[in-house]
Amino acid sequence: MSNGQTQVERAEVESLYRRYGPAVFRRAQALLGREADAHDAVQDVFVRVLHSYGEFRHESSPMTWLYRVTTNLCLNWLRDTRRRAELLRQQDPEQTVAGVRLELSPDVRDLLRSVPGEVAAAAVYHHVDGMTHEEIAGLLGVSRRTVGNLLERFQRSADKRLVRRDHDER
Amino acid sequence: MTSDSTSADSSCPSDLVLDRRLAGELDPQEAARLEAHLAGCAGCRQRLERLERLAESYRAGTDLAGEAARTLARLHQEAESRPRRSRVAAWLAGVAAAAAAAALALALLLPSGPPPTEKAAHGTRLKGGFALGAFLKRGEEVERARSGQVFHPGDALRFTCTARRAGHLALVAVDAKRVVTLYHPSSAGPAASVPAGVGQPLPGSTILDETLGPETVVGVLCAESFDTKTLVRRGRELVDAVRAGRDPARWLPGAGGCQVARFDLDKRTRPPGDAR
Repeated sequence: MSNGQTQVERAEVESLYRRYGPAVFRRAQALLGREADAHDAVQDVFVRVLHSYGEFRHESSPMTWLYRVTTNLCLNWLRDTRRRAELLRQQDPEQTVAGVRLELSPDVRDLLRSVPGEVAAAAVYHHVDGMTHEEIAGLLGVSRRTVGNLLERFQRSADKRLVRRDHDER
Repeated sequence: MTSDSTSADSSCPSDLVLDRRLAGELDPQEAARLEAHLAGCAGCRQRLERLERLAESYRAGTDLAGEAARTLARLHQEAESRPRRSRVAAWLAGVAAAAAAAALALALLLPSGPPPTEKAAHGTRLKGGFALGAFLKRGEEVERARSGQVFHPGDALRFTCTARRAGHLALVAVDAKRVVTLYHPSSAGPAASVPAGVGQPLPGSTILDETLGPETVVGVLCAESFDTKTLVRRGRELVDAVRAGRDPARWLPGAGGCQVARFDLDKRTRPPGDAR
Protein backbone atom coordinates (compact mmCIF):
# COMPACT_ATOMS: atom_id res chain seq x y z
CA MET A 1 0.00 0.00 0.00
CA SER A 2 1.39 3.40 -0.89
CA ASN A 3 1.23 6.55 1.15
CA GLY A 4 -1.91 8.56 0.49
CA GLN A 5 -5.12 6.69 -0.09
CA THR A 6 -6.17 5.82 -3.57
CA GLN A 7 -9.62 4.81 -4.79
CA VAL A 8 -8.32 1.32 -5.45
CA GLU A 9 -6.98 0.92 -1.90
CA ARG A 10 -10.21 2.12 -0.38
CA ALA A 11 -12.29 -0.18 -2.56
CA GLU A 12 -10.08 -3.14 -1.70
CA VAL A 13 -10.20 -2.49 2.04
CA GLU A 14 -13.94 -1.87 1.87
CA SER A 15 -14.40 -5.25 0.20
CA LEU A 16 -12.36 -6.85 3.02
CA TYR A 17 -14.71 -5.23 5.53
CA ARG A 18 -17.74 -6.41 3.60
CA ARG A 19 -16.53 -9.98 3.40
CA TYR A 20 -14.84 -10.52 6.74
CA GLY A 21 -16.03 -7.61 8.91
CA PRO A 22 -19.27 -9.27 10.09
CA ALA A 23 -17.53 -12.31 11.60
CA VAL A 24 -14.74 -10.22 13.18
CA PHE A 25 -17.28 -7.78 14.62
CA ARG A 26 -19.61 -10.49 15.94
CA ARG A 27 -16.80 -12.30 17.74
CA ALA A 28 -15.26 -9.06 19.06
CA GLN A 29 -18.61 -8.02 20.47
CA ALA A 30 -19.18 -11.42 22.04
CA LEU A 31 -15.82 -11.12 23.79
CA LEU A 32 -15.74 -7.42 24.65
CA GLY A 33 -19.44 -6.64 25.10
CA ARG A 34 -19.72 -3.03 24.00
CA GLU A 35 -20.55 -2.30 20.38
CA ALA A 36 -18.16 0.68 20.24
CA ASP A 37 -15.28 -1.47 21.53
CA ALA A 38 -16.10 -4.14 18.99
CA HIS A 39 -15.92 -1.57 16.15
CA ASP A 40 -12.53 -0.37 17.48
CA ALA A 41 -11.33 -3.97 17.66
CA VAL A 42 -12.43 -4.59 14.06
CA GLN A 43 -10.34 -1.63 12.97
CA ASP A 44 -7.31 -2.87 14.91
CA VAL A 45 -7.72 -6.29 13.33
CA PHE A 46 -7.88 -4.83 9.80
CA VAL A 47 -4.83 -2.62 10.44
CA ARG A 48 -3.01 -5.86 11.30
CA VAL A 49 -4.37 -7.48 8.17
CA LEU A 50 -2.94 -4.65 6.07
CA HIS A 51 0.40 -4.82 7.88
CA SER A 52 0.64 -8.48 6.85
CA TYR A 53 -1.34 -8.21 3.66
CA GLY A 54 0.99 -10.44 1.62
CA GLU A 55 0.74 -13.19 4.20
CA PHE A 56 -3.02 -12.69 4.58
CA ARG A 57 -3.69 -12.98 0.86
CA HIS A 58 -1.78 -16.24 0.68
CA GLU A 59 -3.54 -17.82 3.62
CA SER A 60 -5.55 -20.88 2.58
CA SER A 61 -8.23 -19.68 4.99
CA PRO A 62 -8.08 -15.94 5.73
CA MET A 63 -11.10 -16.42 8.02
CA THR A 64 -9.12 -18.79 10.25
CA TRP A 65 -6.28 -16.24 10.39
CA LEU A 66 -8.81 -13.57 11.38
CA TYR A 67 -10.30 -15.77 14.11
CA ARG A 68 -6.84 -16.13 15.63
CA VAL A 69 -5.95 -12.42 15.41
CA THR A 70 -9.36 -11.32 16.74
CA THR A 71 -9.20 -13.73 19.67
CA ASN A 72 -5.69 -12.68 20.69
CA LEU A 73 -6.45 -8.99 20.30
CA CYS A 74 -9.67 -9.15 22.34
CA LEU A 75 -8.07 -11.24 25.08
CA ASN A 76 -5.25 -8.68 25.25
CA TRP A 77 -7.82 -5.92 25.56
CA LEU A 78 -9.53 -7.76 28.40
CA ARG A 79 -6.17 -7.97 30.17
CA ASP A 80 -5.26 -4.34 29.58
CA THR A 81 -5.86 -2.57 32.90
CA ARG A 82 -6.78 0.76 31.38
CA ARG A 83 -9.22 -0.75 28.92
CA ARG A 84 -10.59 -3.05 31.59
CA ALA A 85 -11.57 -0.09 33.76
CA GLU A 86 -13.24 1.48 30.73
CA LEU A 87 -15.07 -1.75 29.87
CA LEU A 88 -16.38 -2.13 33.41
CA ARG A 89 -17.39 1.52 33.68
CA GLN A 90 -19.28 1.58 30.42
CA GLN A 91 -20.73 -1.91 30.38
CA ASP A 92 -24.01 -1.87 28.49
CA PRO A 93 -26.78 -3.36 30.61
CA GLU A 94 -28.19 -5.17 27.57
CA GLN A 95 -25.81 -6.17 24.82
CA THR A 96 -27.71 -6.87 21.66
CA VAL A 97 -26.91 -7.23 18.02
CA ALA A 98 -29.86 -7.33 15.66
CA GLY A 99 -32.08 -8.38 18.52
CA VAL A 100 -29.92 -11.33 19.58
CA ARG A 101 -28.69 -11.10 23.12
CA LEU A 102 -25.08 -12.02 23.64
CA GLU A 103 -24.54 -13.83 26.88
CA LEU A 104 -20.86 -13.65 27.63
CA SER A 105 -21.26 -12.37 31.17
CA PRO A 106 -18.83 -10.02 32.96
CA ASP A 107 -18.00 -13.04 35.17
CA VAL A 108 -16.87 -15.06 32.19
CA ARG A 109 -14.84 -12.11 30.86
CA ASP A 110 -13.22 -11.83 34.26
CA LEU A 111 -12.41 -15.52 34.17
CA LEU A 112 -10.95 -15.26 30.66
CA ARG A 113 -8.61 -12.49 31.75
CA SER A 114 -7.49 -14.37 34.84
CA VAL A 115 -6.31 -17.55 33.11
CA PRO A 116 -3.18 -17.91 30.92
CA GLY A 117 -3.60 -16.70 27.33
CA GLU A 118 -3.51 -20.12 25.72
CA VAL A 119 -6.13 -21.46 28.16
CA ALA A 120 -8.38 -18.45 27.46
CA ALA A 121 -7.98 -18.80 23.69
CA ALA A 122 -8.84 -22.52 23.81
CA ALA A 123 -11.90 -21.75 25.97
CA VAL A 124 -13.09 -19.07 23.54
CA TYR A 125 -12.70 -21.36 20.53
CA HIS A 126 -14.52 -24.18 22.27
CA HIS A 127 -17.26 -22.44 24.21
CA VAL A 128 -17.92 -19.37 22.04
CA ASP A 129 -17.15 -20.73 18.57
CA GLY A 130 -18.17 -24.34 19.16
CA MET A 131 -14.94 -25.76 17.75
CA THR A 132 -13.85 -29.35 18.13
CA HIS A 133 -10.58 -30.20 19.87
CA GLU A 134 -9.11 -30.95 16.46
CA GLU A 135 -9.98 -27.52 15.05
CA ILE A 136 -8.57 -25.81 18.15
CA ALA A 137 -5.41 -27.90 17.90
CA GLY A 138 -4.97 -26.67 14.31
CA LEU A 139 -5.51 -23.04 15.29
CA LEU A 140 -3.19 -23.10 18.29
CA GLY A 141 -0.60 -25.35 16.67
CA VAL A 142 -0.74 -27.88 19.53
CA SER A 143 -1.84 -31.50 19.89
CA ARG A 144 -5.45 -32.50 20.60
CA ARG A 145 -4.34 -33.83 23.95
CA THR A 146 -2.92 -30.41 24.85
CA VAL A 147 -6.25 -28.83 23.88
CA GLY A 148 -8.00 -31.26 26.25
CA ASN A 149 -5.61 -30.23 29.02
CA LEU A 150 -6.12 -26.51 28.33
CA LEU A 151 -9.91 -26.89 28.46
CA GLU A 152 -9.67 -28.89 31.68
CA ARG A 153 -7.56 -26.13 33.21
CA PHE A 154 -10.19 -23.59 32.19
CA GLN A 155 -12.94 -25.72 33.67
CA ARG A 156 -11.06 -26.09 36.95
CA SER A 157 -10.59 -22.30 37.16
CA ALA A 158 -14.30 -21.83 36.44
CA ASP A 159 -15.27 -24.35 39.14
CA LYS A 160 -12.96 -22.73 41.68
CA ARG A 161 -14.41 -19.32 40.95
CA LEU A 162 -17.94 -20.67 41.34
CA VAL A 163 -17.08 -22.20 44.70
CA ARG A 164 -15.44 -18.95 45.83
CA ARG A 165 -18.43 -16.90 44.77
CA ASP A 166 -20.87 -19.22 46.53
CA HIS A 167 -18.74 -18.92 49.64
CA ASP A 168 -18.65 -15.09 49.40
CA GLU A 169 -22.40 -14.88 48.89
CA ARG A 170 -23.19 -16.94 51.98
CA MET B 1 -21.22 -18.16 26.75
CA THR B 2 -23.41 -17.91 23.67
CA SER B 3 -25.42 -21.04 24.13
CA ASP B 4 -27.07 -20.78 20.72
CA SER B 5 -23.72 -20.75 18.90
CA THR B 6 -22.21 -23.71 20.71
CA SER B 7 -22.45 -26.93 18.78
CA ALA B 8 -25.24 -29.06 20.12
CA ASP B 9 -23.59 -32.18 18.76
CA SER B 10 -19.94 -32.94 18.18
CA SER B 11 -20.70 -33.58 14.51
CA CYS B 12 -22.17 -30.10 14.09
CA PRO B 13 -19.86 -27.62 12.35
CA SER B 14 -18.28 -24.81 14.38
CA ASP B 15 -19.01 -21.14 13.77
CA LEU B 16 -15.68 -21.00 11.97
CA VAL B 17 -16.88 -23.47 9.35
CA LEU B 18 -20.13 -21.51 8.89
CA ASP B 19 -18.21 -18.23 8.64
CA ARG B 20 -15.87 -19.77 6.09
CA ARG B 21 -18.89 -20.84 4.06
CA LEU B 22 -20.36 -17.34 4.18
CA ALA B 23 -16.99 -15.93 3.05
CA GLY B 24 -16.87 -18.44 0.18
CA GLU B 25 -13.73 -20.14 1.53
CA LEU B 26 -14.79 -23.78 1.66
CA ASP B 27 -13.36 -26.09 -0.97
CA PRO B 28 -15.90 -28.21 -2.90
CA GLN B 29 -15.48 -31.25 -0.62
CA GLU B 30 -15.86 -29.22 2.57
CA ALA B 31 -18.85 -27.42 1.09
CA ALA B 32 -20.52 -30.70 0.10
CA ARG B 33 -19.95 -32.14 3.58
CA LEU B 34 -21.48 -29.05 5.17
CA GLU B 35 -24.49 -29.04 2.84
CA ALA B 36 -25.14 -32.71 3.66
CA HIS B 37 -25.03 -31.89 7.37
CA LEU B 38 -27.29 -28.84 6.99
CA ALA B 39 -29.86 -30.89 5.09
CA GLY B 40 -30.34 -33.07 8.16
CA CYS B 41 -29.80 -30.60 10.99
CA ALA B 42 -32.40 -27.92 11.62
CA GLY B 43 -30.33 -26.46 14.48
CA CYS B 44 -27.37 -25.74 12.22
CA ARG B 45 -29.60 -24.29 9.50
CA GLN B 46 -30.90 -21.86 12.12
CA ARG B 47 -27.36 -21.05 13.25
CA LEU B 48 -26.33 -20.31 9.68
CA GLU B 49 -29.40 -18.11 9.15
CA ARG B 50 -28.61 -16.25 12.35
CA LEU B 51 -25.02 -15.60 11.22
CA GLU B 52 -26.32 -14.38 7.85
CA ARG B 53 -28.77 -12.06 9.60
CA LEU B 54 -26.05 -10.68 11.86
CA ALA B 55 -23.77 -10.16 8.86
CA GLU B 56 -26.45 -8.26 6.95
CA SER B 57 -27.20 -6.19 10.02
CA TYR B 58 -23.49 -5.32 10.40
CA ARG B 59 -23.15 -4.35 6.73
CA ALA B 60 -26.35 -2.27 6.79
CA GLY B 61 -25.45 -0.53 10.06
CA THR B 62 -21.78 0.21 9.39
CA ASP B 63 -20.26 2.85 7.14
CA LEU B 64 -17.93 0.37 5.43
CA ALA B 65 -16.34 2.96 3.13
CA GLY B 66 -15.71 5.21 6.14
CA GLU B 67 -14.20 2.35 8.15
CA ALA B 68 -11.95 1.45 5.19
CA ALA B 69 -10.77 5.07 4.88
CA ARG B 70 -10.08 5.31 8.63
CA THR B 71 -8.17 2.01 8.61
CA LEU B 72 -6.00 3.18 5.72
CA ALA B 73 -5.45 6.54 7.39
CA ARG B 74 -4.21 4.76 10.53
CA LEU B 75 -1.97 2.50 8.51
CA HIS B 76 -0.39 5.45 6.69
CA GLN B 77 -0.07 7.44 9.89
CA GLU B 78 1.77 4.54 11.56
CA ALA B 79 4.01 4.13 8.53
CA GLU B 80 4.95 7.82 8.63
CA SER B 81 5.44 8.04 12.38
CA ARG B 82 7.92 5.19 12.64
CA PRO B 83 10.46 3.97 10.17
CA ARG B 84 9.51 0.40 9.42
CA ARG B 85 12.05 -2.37 9.51
CA SER B 86 13.27 -2.86 6.04
CA ARG B 87 15.64 -5.18 4.35
CA VAL B 88 18.50 -3.07 3.12
CA ALA B 89 20.11 -5.05 0.40
CA ALA B 90 21.96 -1.83 -0.33
CA TRP B 91 24.04 -2.44 2.74
CA LEU B 92 26.17 -4.77 0.69
CA ALA B 93 25.92 -3.06 -2.67
CA GLY B 94 24.95 0.52 -3.35
CA VAL B 95 24.25 3.27 -0.88
CA ALA B 96 26.43 2.10 1.98
CA ALA B 97 28.85 -0.02 0.04
CA ALA B 98 31.91 1.09 1.99
CA ALA B 99 30.49 0.26 5.36
CA ALA B 100 29.14 -2.97 4.01
CA ALA B 101 32.52 -3.96 2.72
CA ALA B 102 33.92 -3.20 6.17
CA ALA B 103 31.31 -5.43 7.77
CA LEU B 104 32.00 -8.25 5.39
CA ALA B 105 35.76 -7.87 5.75
CA LEU B 106 35.39 -7.85 9.51
CA ALA B 107 33.33 -11.01 9.32
CA LEU B 108 35.93 -12.74 7.19
CA LEU B 109 38.88 -11.55 9.24
CA LEU B 110 37.46 -12.46 12.61
CA PRO B 111 39.07 -15.59 13.94
CA SER B 112 36.80 -18.54 13.54
CA GLY B 113 37.82 -19.43 17.08
CA PRO B 114 37.21 -22.55 19.03
CA PRO B 115 34.10 -24.62 18.34
CA PRO B 116 31.02 -22.85 19.71
CA THR B 117 30.47 -23.38 23.39
CA GLU B 118 27.14 -23.47 25.22
CA LYS B 119 27.28 -19.68 25.59
CA ALA B 120 28.69 -18.33 22.38
CA ALA B 121 30.40 -14.97 22.76
CA HIS B 122 28.07 -13.00 20.53
CA GLY B 123 24.80 -14.80 20.95
CA THR B 124 23.31 -17.59 22.94
CA ARG B 125 23.24 -21.05 21.57
CA LEU B 126 20.54 -23.20 23.03
CA LYS B 127 21.08 -26.48 21.33
CA GLY B 128 23.90 -28.29 19.52
CA GLY B 129 26.32 -26.37 17.29
CA PHE B 130 24.10 -23.50 16.29
CA ALA B 131 24.53 -19.86 17.32
CA LEU B 132 23.48 -16.41 16.19
CA GLY B 133 25.64 -13.32 16.15
CA ALA B 134 25.37 -9.87 14.62
CA PHE B 135 27.27 -6.89 13.32
CA LEU B 136 26.00 -3.47 14.24
CA LYS B 137 26.27 -0.54 11.86
CA ARG B 138 25.71 2.77 13.63
CA GLY B 139 26.43 5.82 11.51
CA GLU B 140 29.53 4.90 9.56
CA GLU B 141 30.92 2.55 12.18
CA VAL B 142 30.57 -1.20 12.03
CA GLU B 143 31.22 -3.31 15.11
CA ARG B 144 30.47 -6.72 16.38
CA ALA B 145 27.32 -6.73 18.51
CA ARG B 146 26.64 -8.76 21.62
CA SER B 147 23.35 -10.39 22.51
CA GLY B 148 21.62 -8.34 25.20
CA GLN B 149 23.44 -5.06 24.51
CA VAL B 150 21.70 -1.71 24.02
CA PHE B 151 20.57 -0.83 20.50
CA HIS B 152 18.89 2.32 19.19
CA PRO B 153 16.19 2.91 16.58
CA GLY B 154 17.85 3.34 13.22
CA ASP B 155 20.73 0.96 14.02
CA ALA B 156 21.39 -1.52 11.24
CA LEU B 157 21.98 -5.13 12.21
CA ARG B 158 23.47 -7.83 10.08
CA PHE B 159 23.02 -11.26 11.60
CA THR B 160 25.56 -14.04 11.41
CA CYS B 161 25.05 -17.75 11.80
CA THR B 162 27.30 -20.44 13.15
CA ALA B 163 26.10 -23.87 12.13
CA ARG B 164 27.92 -27.16 12.56
CA ARG B 165 25.77 -28.69 9.83
CA ALA B 166 24.16 -27.21 6.72
CA GLY B 167 20.42 -26.68 7.00
CA HIS B 168 17.45 -24.39 6.49
CA LEU B 169 17.35 -21.22 8.50
CA ALA B 170 14.83 -18.55 9.49
CA LEU B 171 15.02 -15.73 12.05
CA VAL B 172 11.89 -14.51 13.75
CA ALA B 173 11.70 -11.65 16.27
CA VAL B 174 9.16 -10.51 18.85
CA ASP B 175 9.45 -6.94 20.10
CA ALA B 176 8.17 -5.25 23.25
CA LYS B 177 4.81 -4.63 21.58
CA ARG B 178 4.57 -8.37 20.86
CA VAL B 179 4.84 -7.72 17.13
CA VAL B 180 6.28 -10.69 15.24
CA THR B 181 8.69 -9.97 12.39
CA LEU B 182 10.47 -12.33 10.05
CA TYR B 183 14.11 -11.12 9.92
CA HIS B 184 15.48 -13.77 7.64
CA PRO B 185 14.87 -14.69 4.88
CA SER B 186 13.66 -11.33 3.62
CA SER B 187 10.25 -12.57 2.48
CA ALA B 188 7.78 -15.20 3.62
CA GLY B 189 8.12 -18.59 1.98
CA PRO B 190 10.63 -21.39 2.35
CA ALA B 191 13.43 -21.02 4.90
CA ALA B 192 16.86 -20.02 3.54
CA SER B 193 19.55 -22.63 2.91
CA VAL B 194 22.68 -22.09 4.94
CA PRO B 195 25.94 -24.03 4.69
CA ALA B 196 27.94 -25.23 7.69
CA GLY B 197 30.37 -22.57 8.94
CA VAL B 198 31.30 -20.18 11.71
CA GLY B 199 30.09 -16.54 11.88
CA GLN B 200 28.65 -16.50 8.38
CA PRO B 201 27.01 -13.12 7.62
CA LEU B 202 23.45 -13.55 6.40
CA PRO B 203 22.35 -11.56 3.33
CA GLY B 204 20.65 -8.23 3.91
CA SER B 205 20.39 -6.17 7.06
CA THR B 206 17.67 -5.01 9.39
CA ILE B 207 17.07 -1.39 10.40
CA LEU B 208 15.64 -1.26 13.90
CA ASP B 209 12.37 0.59 14.26
CA GLU B 210 11.14 2.91 17.03
CA THR B 211 9.62 0.24 19.24
CA LEU B 212 11.60 0.39 22.48
CA GLY B 213 12.11 -2.33 25.06
CA PRO B 214 13.35 -5.88 24.95
CA GLU B 215 13.23 -7.72 21.66
CA THR B 216 14.26 -11.32 21.14
CA VAL B 217 15.37 -12.79 17.84
CA VAL B 218 15.12 -16.55 17.61
CA GLY B 219 16.92 -18.47 14.88
CA VAL B 220 15.54 -21.83 13.80
CA LEU B 221 17.80 -24.17 11.87
CA CYS B 222 16.22 -27.35 10.58
CA ALA B 223 17.57 -30.31 8.66
CA GLU B 224 14.60 -30.10 6.28
CA SER B 225 13.09 -27.12 4.54
CA PHE B 226 10.08 -25.47 6.22
CA ASP B 227 7.61 -22.67 5.56
CA THR B 228 8.48 -19.45 7.39
CA LYS B 229 4.77 -18.57 7.52
CA THR B 230 4.26 -21.38 10.04
CA LEU B 231 7.12 -19.99 12.09
CA VAL B 232 5.72 -16.45 12.03
CA ARG B 233 2.29 -17.74 13.05
CA ARG B 234 3.81 -19.47 16.07
CA GLY B 235 6.38 -16.73 16.62
CA ARG B 236 5.09 -15.40 19.93
CA GLU B 237 4.73 -18.82 21.50
CA LEU B 238 8.13 -19.92 20.22
CA VAL B 239 9.90 -16.81 21.49
CA ASP B 240 8.04 -16.97 24.82
CA ALA B 241 9.16 -20.58 25.28
CA VAL B 242 12.78 -19.71 24.45
CA ARG B 243 12.71 -16.68 26.78
CA ALA B 244 11.26 -18.77 29.60
CA GLY B 245 13.78 -21.55 29.06
CA ARG B 246 11.03 -24.01 28.18
CA ASP B 247 11.41 -26.66 25.51
CA PRO B 248 10.29 -24.90 22.29
CA ALA B 249 9.89 -28.18 20.37
CA ARG B 250 6.13 -27.97 19.94
CA TRP B 251 6.37 -24.56 18.26
CA LEU B 252 9.05 -25.65 15.82
CA PRO B 253 8.20 -26.56 12.22
CA GLY B 254 8.50 -30.14 11.07
CA ALA B 255 8.75 -33.38 12.97
CA GLY B 256 12.19 -32.78 14.47
CA GLY B 257 15.80 -32.14 13.57
CA CYS B 258 15.54 -28.42 14.40
CA GLN B 259 17.84 -26.34 16.58
CA VAL B 260 17.19 -22.91 18.06
CA ALA B 261 19.42 -19.99 19.05
CA ARG B 262 18.51 -16.59 20.42
CA PHE B 263 19.84 -13.04 20.19
CA ASP B 264 18.47 -10.36 22.52
CA LEU B 265 18.12 -6.67 21.81
CA ASP B 266 17.68 -4.05 24.50
CA LYS B 267 16.17 -1.21 22.47
CA ARG B 268 16.45 2.25 24.00
CA THR B 269 16.19 5.80 22.72
CA ARG B 270 19.32 7.28 21.23
CA PRO B 271 21.10 9.49 23.78
CA PRO B 272 20.59 13.23 23.16
CA GLY B 273 23.30 14.69 20.97
CA ASP B 274 24.07 11.39 19.27
CA ALA B 275 23.12 12.28 15.72
CA ARG B 276 24.37 9.08 14.12
